[in-house]
Amino acid sequence: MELEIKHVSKRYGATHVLNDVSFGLRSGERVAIAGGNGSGKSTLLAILAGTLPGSGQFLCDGLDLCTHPKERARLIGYLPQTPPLFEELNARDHLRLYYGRREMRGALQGGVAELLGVNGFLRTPVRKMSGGMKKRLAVACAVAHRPRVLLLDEVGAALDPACRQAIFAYLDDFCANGGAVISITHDTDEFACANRAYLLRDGVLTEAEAGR
Amino acid sequence: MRAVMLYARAQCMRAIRLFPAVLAMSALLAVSLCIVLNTMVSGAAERQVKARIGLVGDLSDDYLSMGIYAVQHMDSSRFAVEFVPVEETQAREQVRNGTLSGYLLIPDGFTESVMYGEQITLTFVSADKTATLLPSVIREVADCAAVYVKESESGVFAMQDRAKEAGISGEPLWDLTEKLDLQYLSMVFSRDDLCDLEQTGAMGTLSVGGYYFCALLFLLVMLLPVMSTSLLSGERKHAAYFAGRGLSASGQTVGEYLAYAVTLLLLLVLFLLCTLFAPKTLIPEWSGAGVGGVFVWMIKLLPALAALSATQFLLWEAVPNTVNGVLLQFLLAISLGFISGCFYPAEFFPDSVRRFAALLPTGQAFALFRDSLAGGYRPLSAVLLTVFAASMLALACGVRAYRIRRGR
Repeated sequence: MELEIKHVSKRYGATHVLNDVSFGLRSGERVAIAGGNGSGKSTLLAILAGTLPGSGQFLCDGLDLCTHPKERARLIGYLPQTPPLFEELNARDHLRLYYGRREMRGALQGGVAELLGVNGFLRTPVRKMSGGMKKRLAVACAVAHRPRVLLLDEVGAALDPACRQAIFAYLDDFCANGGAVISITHDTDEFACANRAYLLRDGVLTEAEAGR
Repeated sequence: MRAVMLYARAQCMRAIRLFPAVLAMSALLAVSLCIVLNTMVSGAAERQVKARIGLVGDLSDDYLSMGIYAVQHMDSSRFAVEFVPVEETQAREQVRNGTLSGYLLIPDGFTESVMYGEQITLTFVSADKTATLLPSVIREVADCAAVYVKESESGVFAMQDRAKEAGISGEPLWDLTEKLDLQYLSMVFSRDDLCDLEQTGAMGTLSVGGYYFCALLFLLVMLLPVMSTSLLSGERKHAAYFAGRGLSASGQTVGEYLAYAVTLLLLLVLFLLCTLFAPKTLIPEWSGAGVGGVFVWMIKLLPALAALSATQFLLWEAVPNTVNGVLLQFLLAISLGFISGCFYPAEFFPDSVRRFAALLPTGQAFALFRDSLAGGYRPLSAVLLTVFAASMLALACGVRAYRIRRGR
């Protein structure tokens, strides 16, 4: 699988948030993007995920996902900075929303939900969950449809070492099975795990030194 | 389709989890509305008591004062009319400043003239500048009183003359007179039994209780978005995310609307079941209606409920800010409720306002509430309201799609 992000731009009025951003990655690769607050990192990921309008192309083996929303929904798993969870529902309700009955059983027994430790708080309502629990649940929901590309916005932020380890282990496994990950991070550990790293400053993307 | 079903199920679960809070707020609102509507109804009753009529002239005669006492204390008209002995100059002044509704001028020697069968006239004076109903009613009451007094007295004296001609006098004559007096009194005091009172016109075919019961229910439905803010505002922030995951704007809207509709129906069913325990005299139309009756009425109301909830849903979708949305919903609920006749029967409004209110979907919906409670039904209104509900929902889908496209 060959992914290409070409000429992605976004502006709010006269302000250019993203200015002709382009980069590429292959199956099994992890790309980390860093940058200061307000540099446009989350905006870039939201545009790639299709939750924010913007210009440019997001090609997957030559197919522009921006003009094929169904393909994009099938291929991409997106975890925004604020996990899209409903405060009133518990973890099991959320899994039910994203998984079929059989898939859910699989996820809870040796699958991603067990790997991320979601089993431990299935009946806890989201409003009573810690930040780490929410993140783990959100990752389990984001990968329910078995995407091939993961777009993660600060997935490791505010997590304890054990929780972060669990998520990173899952991501390694995901990439080893042919997936690709684009993650936004301020975390040097996550930066070190990436095959390629970029720095976003004032909407302009520049390559940085990666860990791998 | 599966995604829509799953999303709708999740939203319904949210609605059920949030339902206790919505129910508690609705119960508070219902109690407040009951107090407001009750105050309005009893306020009208108090105003009726304040219809005061002055009595000017010589009231020293025992028969006359006994008659006035009887009318004021024993007859049912005491709820509407209060007689006040007063000097004529004072009476004029009080009529002018509105303290008295009018006064009856009782001429000197009134009782004697009646005894001798003379044609005398009682004069009723009122400030009849305004062509309202009240002076007419009071005039009518005064006319009735005058006729009762004159005719009954004439009747008594005619009977005594005939009795004397027949050689009856002394104790037997007084017995006969007393018997006739009592017969007249019983006719006056029991005149409520002469006819059955049916309230039609202003309230349609509903009783006052039935009308305000519909009004209360209607306002409760209209104000539901204010009480379900947490349910309605919860989805907004995730709309773009779900769109990105392939759940269309229409799918999201339908799923969320279903959850809102479930909340509305649950609330109404509980509320209506509670009203089954209300005294039968309060809502006469509701007497004899069991649990089955509640559900039948709910089914009849469905088009109106769909139209109202779809409109609320569209408005909520169209206003991005939660506080503005709540304010808009509240103001619309109160103003449209007022114009539709929730606080005062719409029939009291000017013709143009009435026609305008009837054209509005809220007016149609309220009419459906009333008609279906009265036992009738408007199939055309039901069809129109259903079409209107579908249009509102389609518009809400459009607004959601627009918001997602614009990244709002």
